[in-house]
Amino acid sequence: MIPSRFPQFEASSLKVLAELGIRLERIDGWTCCPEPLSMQTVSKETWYSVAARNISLAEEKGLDILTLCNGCNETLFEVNKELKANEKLRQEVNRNLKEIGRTFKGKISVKSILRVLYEDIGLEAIKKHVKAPLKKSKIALHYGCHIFPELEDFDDLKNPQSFKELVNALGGEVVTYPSEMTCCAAFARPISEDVSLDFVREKLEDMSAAGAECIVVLCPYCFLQLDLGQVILSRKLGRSFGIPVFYLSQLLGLAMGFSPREMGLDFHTVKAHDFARRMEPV
Amino acid sequence: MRHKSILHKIVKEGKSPAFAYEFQSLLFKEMALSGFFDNCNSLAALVVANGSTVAVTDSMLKRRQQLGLPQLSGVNQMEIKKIAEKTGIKLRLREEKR
Repeated sequence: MIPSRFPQFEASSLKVLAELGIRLERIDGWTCCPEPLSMQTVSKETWYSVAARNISLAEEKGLDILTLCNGCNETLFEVNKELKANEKLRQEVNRNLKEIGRTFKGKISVKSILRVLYEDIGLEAIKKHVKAPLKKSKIALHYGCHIFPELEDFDDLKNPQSFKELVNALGGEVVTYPSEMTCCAAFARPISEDVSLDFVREKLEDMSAAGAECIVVLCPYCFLQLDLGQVILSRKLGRSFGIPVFYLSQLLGLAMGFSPREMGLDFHTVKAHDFARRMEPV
Repeated sequence: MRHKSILHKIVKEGKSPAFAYEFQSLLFKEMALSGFFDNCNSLAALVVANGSTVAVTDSMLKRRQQLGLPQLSGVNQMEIKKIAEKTGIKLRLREEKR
């Protein structure tokens, strides 16, 4: 979804990670991860096999996988972990991959951008790159539920700290709100827009009550819900929330001194430039 | 919205978010069974047919160019189709359409 719908997240991540010393390579022939909920519901075997094919493409190049989307992370992290641990399942999936001359070997790791920033780069190294701190701006974090399987692997799921510490390292002040760990309900939108937007409304009301000046997300679907969702809600309810939404690498990039244009803020529905202008370099 | 109030109770009482997530997945399946499965089939069919659930539009190609990103590389669709045939997903999708 990111390359074809939100390329600004791809561009901001490439710029920020390059500055932090992470070299990213594209993998030719890559397909949709596939999306976890729908493909698993239709055929779990296909879900494993298509994901294992993608992982095998990275294995052939000897590269680990960095994901920018929670849905991709859930699929690739879970499939990689399960196939490494379960020999019988790995054999079954490899029988399918044999048809196309590929094999899942289980030699690489899959990590989200959050995990790479937190574990591999580290907060101290990131702090050294901060040129335009967030000046104690109040920031609401939205995790997105598909990150939970990986989050459980490196953080405390009941009281996660990594995302919070990362935003604190940029100079922001994280606010807590009751619906922080609930779903953005993006997947419910094609089925019932009202139900889906009801989740968004509740989140935005909670964030607003907590004094949030902006929202940071880890997932393009969550971004869509919270950014475009605000415009739809304002039409339906006549109430404007006006809380800009940033993808993690965009907020990080602004704090590192990249311009709003370089971080792709021109493409947001809820205008984010006013917030960005307050982050002047020191 | 009985499900929502239960869900909020779970979250507010401090149970594991993973548990809440599981609950929400069930909620979405339960609240619109027919719509849910139709949607799942459509998305899965798009992956098999195009390699992606999102079509690449001209405006997005232009946006990629503006952002200094390279063009998107092609997908070896035959490989996905072979996997789909091997796992039987293609047949199931055809049956669903009847």
